[in-house]
Formats: sequence, structure tokens, C-alpha cells
Amino acid sequence: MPYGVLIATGAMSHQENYALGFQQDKRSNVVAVSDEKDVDERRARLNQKLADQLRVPYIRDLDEALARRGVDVVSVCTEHHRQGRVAIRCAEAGKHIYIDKPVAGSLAEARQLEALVRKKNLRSQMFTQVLFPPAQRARRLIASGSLGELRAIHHDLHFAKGYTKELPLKPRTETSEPKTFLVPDAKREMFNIAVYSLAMFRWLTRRDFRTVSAITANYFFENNARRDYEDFGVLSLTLDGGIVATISSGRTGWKSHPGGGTNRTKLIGTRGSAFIDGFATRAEITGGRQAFWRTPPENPDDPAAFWSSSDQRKSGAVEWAIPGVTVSDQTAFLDALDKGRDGEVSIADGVHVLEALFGAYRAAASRDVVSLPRHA
Amino acid sequence: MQYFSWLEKTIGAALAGNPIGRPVFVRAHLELTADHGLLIPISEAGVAIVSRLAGAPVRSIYALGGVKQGTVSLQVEFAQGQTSLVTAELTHGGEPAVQLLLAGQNGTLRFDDFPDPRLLVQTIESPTPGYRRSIERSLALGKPARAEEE
Repeated sequence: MPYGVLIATGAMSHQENYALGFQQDKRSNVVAVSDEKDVDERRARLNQKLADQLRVPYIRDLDEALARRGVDVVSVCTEHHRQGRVAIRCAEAGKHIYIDKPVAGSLAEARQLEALVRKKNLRSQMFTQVLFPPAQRARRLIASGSLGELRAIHHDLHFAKGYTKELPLKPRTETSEPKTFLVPDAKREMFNIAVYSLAMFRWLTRRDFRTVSAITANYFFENNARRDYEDFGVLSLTLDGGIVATISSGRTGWKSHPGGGTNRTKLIGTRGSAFIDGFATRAEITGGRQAFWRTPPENPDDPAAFWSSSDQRKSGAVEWAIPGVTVSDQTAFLDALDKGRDGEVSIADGVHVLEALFGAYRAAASRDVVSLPRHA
Repeated sequence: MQYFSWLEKTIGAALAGNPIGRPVFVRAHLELTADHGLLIPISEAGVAIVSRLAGAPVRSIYALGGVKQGTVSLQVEFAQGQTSLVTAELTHGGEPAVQLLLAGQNGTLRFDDFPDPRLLVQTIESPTPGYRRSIERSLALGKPARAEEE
């Protein structure tokens, strides 16, 4: 029998990708789309839209959907301020959890979810980029021993999406405990993007984060500045064993890169270093006319072009020779379920990452270094 | 080090005409020496160049790693809110390498170089203003240090 997968929530979220990944794997069967029954009209319409695309019913009451026979797994991908409570309800119902990153919008909910998943012996996986070629290459390099003992790891991850504006520059005053992270035209981008780097560091090293310092900024997007959501963040961390790590993360606009954006990793070891540039421009033309790619059209439902269903093609941009992702994140989770174990990055890992992220906000607000909890 | 003046001139020329908008973030990996003792002077020189490219004075420096670890990593905040991550790393007997990434408000500049070691043999002059005391204070205290006039 295939795994029955319930999708919570619908379109204009990463669920567009996750649901497709589950639908394409023969070991799983998407049974319905569902959500909390009191979601607003826009969210209900987008949930219905994805249900129609998947040709499955939209069950408006999550509890009713969870009570249906044949639901083994829930793919949870809501706005983050409600993701923790939705995932907790799914775990209470005894379902394995595939979850969007970061795990939740509050540490208390994330820890409650982690405890529940452990108590009920459920399997979990948080979506990350650890199966993407640059992370896989970093792991191979570290495992080869050619770098010696890892001393430092640095990652720049910038998403080349959205229409930028040259905002006036000033130091940002950060909120120590942000409560909301996503609205249709803006996201907190350190929260949404640095999570990939933190999860990769955790996955590569299996070490706890010990301290974090961070600076957040509004450089690029008027909507982010208006809503007081950072569009960029830098983090400096220490990990157990004295490993140093730094991250720059943010959304830098369509024109910042001809492809998806900057993704550069530097590994420093006791015997050598390695530089992995996931999307380096490997072709250069010098000529009388400056060629430039055209930016994609605007989607009123997704004005910042966050989601896959928006047209994100940059016509005229170069193609990259990049190895494909060999296994989709959803397939990897189904593999893990088959083996009765967690995925590569579990909810427990996600909680470590979230502690570092919220520590980064406290550090940015206090302009100091924040110590992070030690785990057994 | 002759190389730094060339590097600053080259990047400055590329930025003339404002092709990427105002630089708001700079990542600099400076893998230029096998001598642990040069890591702090190199990172200081890196901060000075980045400050001039950003067109803003340094507000604070948070330094991680250290001379013994063979890597010094600086998180730098500028007075107008721009940021930078500057790392000085050992070459481990290999070839020197430099990777820069400048994010501007309207585009990005990427610069990768493998400088001739002969360009690197001269003494590194302390920049004015200097940042060495701030870097060493941050390393000693384990927290960000406000940049002082040196």
C-alpha cells in the first residue's frame, strides 16, 4: 500500500513543489489538501486551487482530514506563525511529518513538536537544500579527508528574485522575537534563507551551534522595509569543537544574478580549503552591446515572485552545467520511511536550526553575541 | 603588499559608473599567506578596502577564529548599515586565491583571482584608519568591538 499523504496547505507556498514531489513517487498517494478551518478567503481559494491541480478534494477542516483512513504522512507547509500548531495537531494524530523550513514560528511550539514526534515514535524530515549538488559536493570533500579537520565554513546564499529599489541606507533596528514571517508581498528573508545554510552546517558537521551574532538589514525591497521585515542578514557562529561559520543570506532581486542566485560555499580545513560556487557564470561575452536578460512578468497573486507557479524565467540568461538533484527531497523522505528512520534533516535538527535563527534575531536586536542551548 | 592597491583599484574601476548600485554587502575571502602572523594584517587591509568600496566608516567588528586556528573571520557593520564578511585564510602551501562578492542595490559583482605570489612578498602597510586593535579586542573578548580611530 502506498503512503497516504495529506497536503496542508495549498498554492502560493513551497507546497506547490512538495505535493508534486509526493505525487510523482509511486510509493505515495496524495489523498487531499486540507488546512485549519478558519483560514482567510485568500488562503482557502489557494488551497482549493492546489487541490484542483492535484485532482484531490479540499477538506476544509484539518481534524476531519486527519481522521480519514489512509492518511500516513502530512506535508505541512503553512505560513510560519501557524506552522507549529498545525504540525502539532498532525503529530498528535500520529502522522509522520514532512515539514517546510524553518520548523515553526516559535521555539516553544518547535520543542513541543519535537517532543511529541519522539514520544509517538514518528518519522520526520524538514525540507532543506542538503540534497542539492553544492551541499552534496561539500559533504564529499569533507568526507574525503583532503581538507584535514574542518575549521571554518562560510556560505553565501542569495535569491535573485523580485523587483528591487535603491532604498536609503541606515542601520536596521531588529526585533528580538519576531512573530510573523510571511505575507503575500514580503518575507523575513534571514529567517527563510539562512535556515538553509544553518541546516547544511548542522548536516555537514553534526555539531551543535554554540554562539551566534547577526546583523539584519533592509537593502533591496520597499515592501520589506514598510513591513519591517529584513531582506538580508549576516550571521557569524561558533560550533562545538571551535568551528567558525559565517552566512550571508537574503533576497537580492532579479538583476543580481542571471540564474537563481548566488550560492557559494567555502570550506577551510587544517590541510586545505575548497570553494564551491554552485552557480558561477561559466560563459562570458565581451562585445559592443551589453547583453542582459529580461526579468519575468509580475503575478498579482505573488507580487514578489516567491513561488514556483509564478513565471520565474529570465529570458536571455545563460544555461548552467549543473548536475541534477539525484533524489527529490520528498523521495528521500519516503526512502527514510521505508527504512523506519528520520530523513536527512529531522524535526530535531530543525529545532537546533531554529534556536540558532531566533538567537540570531536576539543578537541582531542587542548587537551582541548570544549563547545557544547545549544539547545532550 | 602591492596586490591590495591593485585589487582596490581594479574593483573601484569596475564599480565606476554605478553598474550595480550602491554596494551594501561584501564577502571577501583572502587566502594569501602561509604565515599565521599575517592573518590579522591581511584581514585589517581587507576591512580598509571594503570600507572604501562601501563609502562608509566601520561601525563595529566581530572577529572569530584566530591566528592559531589559521583563519580569521570578521563580521563588519558600517555606519550606514552596510555589512561585510572578511576572512583571511592560510594557503596551506597551495596557490594564493581571492574571492570577492559585492552585492549592490541593483546588481552583483563577483571577482575571483589567483594572484602571482611575487605580488604578495612586500610588507603589508597598516591602513589609516586602522582596525587592528578592534580586531584583537573582539578576538579577546569574544564579542563585537566598536571601531576606534587608530
